[in-house]
Amino acid sequence: MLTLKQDHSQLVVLSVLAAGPSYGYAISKDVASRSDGHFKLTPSGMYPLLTKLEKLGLVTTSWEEVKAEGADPDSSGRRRKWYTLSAKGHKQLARHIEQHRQVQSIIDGFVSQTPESGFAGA
Amino acid sequence: MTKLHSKSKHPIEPSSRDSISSWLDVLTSMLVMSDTQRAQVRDELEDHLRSRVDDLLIIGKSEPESIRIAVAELGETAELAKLITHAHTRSNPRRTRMNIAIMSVAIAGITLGTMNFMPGTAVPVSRQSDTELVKEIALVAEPVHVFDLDNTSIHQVINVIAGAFDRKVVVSEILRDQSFLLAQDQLALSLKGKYTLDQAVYQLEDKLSVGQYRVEISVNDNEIHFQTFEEYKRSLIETRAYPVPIWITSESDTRNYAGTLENLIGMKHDLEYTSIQVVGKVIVIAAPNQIHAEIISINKQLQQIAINSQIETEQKLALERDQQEQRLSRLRQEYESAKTQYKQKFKTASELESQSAYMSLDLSALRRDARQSGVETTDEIHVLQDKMSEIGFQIHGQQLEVDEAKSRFERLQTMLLNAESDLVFADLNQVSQIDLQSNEPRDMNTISIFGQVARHGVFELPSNGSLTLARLLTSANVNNLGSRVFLNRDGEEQELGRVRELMLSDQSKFKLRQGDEFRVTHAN
Repeated sequence: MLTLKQDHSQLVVLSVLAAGPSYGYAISKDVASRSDGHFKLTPSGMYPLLTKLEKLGLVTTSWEEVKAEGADPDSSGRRRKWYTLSAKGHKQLARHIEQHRQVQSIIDGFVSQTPESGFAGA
Repeated sequence: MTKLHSKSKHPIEPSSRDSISSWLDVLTSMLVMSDTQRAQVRDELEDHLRSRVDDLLIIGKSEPESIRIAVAELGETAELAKLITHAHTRSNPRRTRMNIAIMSVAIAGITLGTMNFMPGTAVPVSRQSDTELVKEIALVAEPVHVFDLDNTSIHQVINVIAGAFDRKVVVSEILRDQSFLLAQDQLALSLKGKYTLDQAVYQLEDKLSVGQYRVEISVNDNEIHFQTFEEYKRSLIETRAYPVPIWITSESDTRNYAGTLENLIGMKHDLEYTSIQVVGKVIVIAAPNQIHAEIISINKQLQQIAINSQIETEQKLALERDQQEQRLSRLRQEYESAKTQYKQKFKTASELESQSAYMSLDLSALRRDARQSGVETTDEIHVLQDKMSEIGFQIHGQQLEVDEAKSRFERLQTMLLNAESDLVFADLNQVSQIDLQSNEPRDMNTISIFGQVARHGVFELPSNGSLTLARLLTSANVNNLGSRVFLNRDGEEQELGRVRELMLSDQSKFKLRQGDEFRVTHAN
């Protein structure tokens, strides 16, 4: 399993939120699931990142009360914090994706040059 | 993704709630932020933990195991608290990349738009009636300003932000030389809506975050500071001197220690902006604060280990010393008892010998009287001879007892001397021999002993107690108990007596003074 670097984490989290609102634990599960378990977003990396995204206005947040099944309807449940990608966040994600593709394209230009394609003999 | 309510089939029992709550109590106590923020962080992490525990219960884990795994996955508590606190309070330097060459080309065609917001005319949020905005201010405790800048040059945007948040713009000289100012005029940015200083500066970063040339923007209470990455990294460097642990004494060990420290720190940190140098018996380190924090932490741990080790050693020494003192005390009692017994036996034997001598005189007188009376012997003579014969046996028996008592006394005396000596050397801090060849200054707290002793030299007086003559003589390991001891004090020499007498008399408790010089000579 790979632990995500900070730059990648931001891109991954914004991408997860682009699919719809989510909360911390669900985001971490989503990242593991969509990467077939290759990526791990640790809580110590994810929650500070979510705070940063909130402070920068890239996500908005809301709270919801959650109760376990069978719990007393009159008792208070636990509070869940939901994250929603803001318009600013969507723009930022688009920029990230564009930059990522540019970098990917440049890197591909290097790694695809095998000896058979003439790199060694050039 | 749709918003889903958690519907666990395995609601957590009260006991697990307690253990999760306890952990959350510990974590939140470490958070440095407002009560509102702390409560929100707690709620969010509690939801994470309980959701995770629910999932683990579903796949068949036991409740305690599920809680253990869920908490362990959150990482080390103090580190997590630090990261979350940092994220909430962050107004630290930011990093950005800028390729001035690329930007100069890229922005050549940009037309400057209209600037609707002039420096110093930012609208303070307190003038707004937006209740949501007021709530936000209360929550984050950071000022927020509303901007309306459309396609405005970076130079002007920087000035507007600085004016709005009452900060001075500082650009490093190196950055000026690198045409940063020119680039500012050529780049444009739109800034509309409400922004905290962090958010506004982030927009600047975002605009400049292309290419390879790195510019660091740092914010403090007075300034928005633009500098190169190199300058920024160097500005973080602090130079501090650290003492090496007390058990490291040689220069080569100090160098090895510094090397080890560098390797250990290098496992976790980039050492590009760190220098570790050995200067005499200290290690001087130039490094960013986070590395100093690491070194201070290592030093504290080493210091604690040293303290613990010292305490253990002291306790062990104290115990050994107590045991030696007890042995010595028992030996002294036995010695005193043997001494008394020896004296008594000797006295009894002397009395018998005196009695025998008197009888011998009486017998001579009786024989002289008998000869004068013309008889060879008398009954009186026979009785006296029988008595003398009996006393002779008694003297012989008593002499054996005296010899035995004397032998025991001398054996115990030797044992006592050895035990005294052991006790002196058991505590190296009390008496330590100093090299005679060294040029010790005369005003040191020392005394000296020379002559017929096995360990002659200069001795340091104990700092936490007095040194007696008996202890000095046993420490110096006097060869012959009949040797004579002379003391030179304040320039005047006097004979104290023979070693045996000094050891057994009250003079053994004679207190020594700084500068005393003792000379031990042959018995004759």
